[in-house]
Amino acid sequence: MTDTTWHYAVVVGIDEYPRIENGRKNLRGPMEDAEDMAAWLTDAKGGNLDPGRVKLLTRKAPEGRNPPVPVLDEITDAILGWAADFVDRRKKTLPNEAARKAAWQKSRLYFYVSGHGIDDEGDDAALITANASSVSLNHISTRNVLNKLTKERVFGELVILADCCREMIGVGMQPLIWDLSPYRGYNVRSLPRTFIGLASRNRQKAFEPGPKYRNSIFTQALLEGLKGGVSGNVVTSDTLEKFLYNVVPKLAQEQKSEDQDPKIDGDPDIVFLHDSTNYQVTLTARPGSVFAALPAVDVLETDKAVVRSRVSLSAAAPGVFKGMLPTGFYAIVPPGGDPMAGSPVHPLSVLGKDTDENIG
Amino acid sequence: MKISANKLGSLSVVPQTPANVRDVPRRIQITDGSLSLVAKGFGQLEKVRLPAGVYQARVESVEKPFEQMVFVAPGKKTSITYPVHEREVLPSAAPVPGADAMHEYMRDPLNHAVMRPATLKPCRIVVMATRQIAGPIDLSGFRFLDAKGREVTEMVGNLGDAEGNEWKIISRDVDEGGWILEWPAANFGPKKLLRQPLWCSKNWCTLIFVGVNVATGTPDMENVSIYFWRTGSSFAPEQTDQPDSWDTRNVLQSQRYTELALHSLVNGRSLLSIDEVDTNLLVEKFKNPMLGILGCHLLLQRTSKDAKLIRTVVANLDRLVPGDPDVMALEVMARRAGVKGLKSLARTLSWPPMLRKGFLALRDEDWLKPGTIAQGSVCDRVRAGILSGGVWTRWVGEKSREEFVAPTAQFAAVRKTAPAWKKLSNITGSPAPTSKNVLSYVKQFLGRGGKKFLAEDLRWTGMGREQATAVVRYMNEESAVARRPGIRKAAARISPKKVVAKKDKKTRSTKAPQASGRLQVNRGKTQRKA
Repeated sequence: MTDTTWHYAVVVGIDEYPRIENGRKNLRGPMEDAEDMAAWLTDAKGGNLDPGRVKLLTRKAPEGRNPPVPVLDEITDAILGWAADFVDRRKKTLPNEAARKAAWQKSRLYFYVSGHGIDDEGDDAALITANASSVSLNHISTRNVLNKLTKERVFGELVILADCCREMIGVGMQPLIWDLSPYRGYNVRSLPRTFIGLASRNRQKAFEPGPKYRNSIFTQALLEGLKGGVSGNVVTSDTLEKFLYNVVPKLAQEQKSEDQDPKIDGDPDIVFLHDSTNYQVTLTARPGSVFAALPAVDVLETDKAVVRSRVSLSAAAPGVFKGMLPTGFYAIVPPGGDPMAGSPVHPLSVLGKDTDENIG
Repeated sequence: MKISANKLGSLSVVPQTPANVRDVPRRIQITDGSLSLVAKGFGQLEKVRLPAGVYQARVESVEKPFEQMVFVAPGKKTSITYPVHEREVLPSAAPVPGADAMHEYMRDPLNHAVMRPATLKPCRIVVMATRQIAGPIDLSGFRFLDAKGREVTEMVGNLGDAEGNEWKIISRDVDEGGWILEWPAANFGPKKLLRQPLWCSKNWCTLIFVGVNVATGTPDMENVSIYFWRTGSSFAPEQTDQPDSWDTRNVLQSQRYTELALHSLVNGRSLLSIDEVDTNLLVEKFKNPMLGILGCHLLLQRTSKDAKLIRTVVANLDRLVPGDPDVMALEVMARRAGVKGLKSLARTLSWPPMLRKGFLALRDEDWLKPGTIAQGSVCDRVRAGILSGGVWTRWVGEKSREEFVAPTAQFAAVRKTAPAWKKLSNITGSPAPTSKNVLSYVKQFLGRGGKKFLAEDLRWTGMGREQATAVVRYMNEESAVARRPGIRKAAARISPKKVVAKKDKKTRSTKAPQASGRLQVNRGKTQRKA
């Protein structure tokens, strides 16, 4: 298990922009995106963060504010608040500098945003805040947040996730006037580590979900990956990156018939979760195929020309084989078959969702 | 771990119908069971050696992407064919292979404009506007300015002007050096204009291809392509009696590669394989130096830089188009990227490079080595106002064309009672929008208190070090004036005290920084998740 004592999160979802064309540009998913991201972060089987250290900012949370919210100051206050709390808590609860340094090495800040977005130089994703208007495009640049926090090494790890468009616009990004020197961390060569997940490539759009879905395309894939949908038993920066690169374009095609390719840039070895999800797999043999009359089929996982694992799926009905499998590519063969030795084989992909496929 | 040869298989991914020089190659990616990318290419992949196992082949397309799972057996050759329902083309106004404006009836008049005998001037600018559906093309808002900002109405050699149902050509023979394209910038305000610098080299045509807004018939400058083509050299050799010759194929390919390289830079994602950049772009540059400039930008974007190749390209480009600001920018970019042994072009730059990335690199260089950009030049006066995004250098200007006015003339025009932003413009030489933006930032900075305000804090604006230092000095002087009793008016604009007091009164929502731009909703800029 990852020690999450020193993990913090700021989660922002903006779905209503009342000052932009009288709200005609409002979005459907960002508030739900933020709520579900916060739910994963605080889930004991997910991010496992103390709920008191997850700041959720939507138009409904925290309650009692006047719209339009959230705005820039709330978001920056939330980040700076966690930076101050982190330093303060270390000072108050830890006995010496060595312990504080160890805590810093285990620390992490998640900064997740969902809403309308823009890009500047092609390496940013700036969230447009709720009080933006057609003449004043108020925003917060995730790149600037990352740069400021990285420069002063405020946290040991930074996870920046932005589910927003990255279309460029002729507006320079407003810099953040932060002086983070009071929260400066330690000099450790490999830190801070960063994971940056942007919903689309530069100059490209990110999309809202299809009608039946609750979360925006990127967030759907992100949550599925974080919950263990990746290939392998551990959700790391590396496996999550590969999962997102493969799944986001598929979801965008399936739900919106649009192209959406994420942009991920992660340092290795950031561990999000030690778990994996199994998906329901139903294989239906085509009549007359070599698999049609079999009582079971073998599902093989191969790696570098070697069979790594073999699972048998029994026939639930004649020619229909069912079982549970994690994300990965598999070779379906008759029982005991070896694809490397010329056995009949059907290639199968399981990618973060239940799979039905005709084989043979 | 090395895998023995008998455990390897080979995989080919090929299009259903053979691709020709006019097609845009599709991106092909092969992933393995851990979802890692194990091979990629464009157009087709031939006999990629892979460890036996299960793979996914994905071929991108403007229609639905093609995906297929495949088992690569040890010692066997596996081949996948992907369908090609319709040709993939690039959204470009240039009538070149691979672009959606590629029509023979547009290439003929273009060729004529390029081949026309030279007049007394050594360079030529050819602007070609194209549209997909026949209709009017209105270039009346479109202007050429000379290096001093004067509109050019009469130029030698306007015999090259011509038009058809879906195209219009304006051709001018001009002197070597910097020129400006200017057009209305409706998104930035009714009286605003967008300006883009051009460079003309001796014996070369600078070809500018612009699209046309179907509704208004006016130029759509979103996708502009710029080529350099040797004056008198055929742009459309396929229309001669040797349509299939090696030379003809080369010319067509160089035009297609220019478009692919340009779109690679626009999208930040290469549409060309490394081999194609290495060979085709850089060899073909002798016919079309823009190909070399774009190719060198692509080379510099790679993680591992081929220093020898970059050195060769920069040196060749300098011989082909001497004095071109883009080549000088490339030299600076290469040096900053760690390429050693470059012949220093060592010139002070006074005209902006056409490619924005080059301009940004020069701006950075000038911060470290003041004098790289000539003080008071057009390049210096627009440096802080360059629009973000896009491939080309552009800025928003006023009808007064103040960026072309000599700094001394403007200094005299500013009164003591002028607003702070105007004084700032006077100090920095930057146009009004930039000064207002800087002033707003400085107010916030001072209002926040704590950290000392330094020139380095203004580096992000694009100003030079000297300009930034002058701004800091000015702000400090004004703050000092503001603290003297009886002088309250000047204090109103910049006093930190006043800013703090104002800040306390304001509601939270008005504290957010104001971006100096307009939301371009009509172009779908915020149509996220639409």
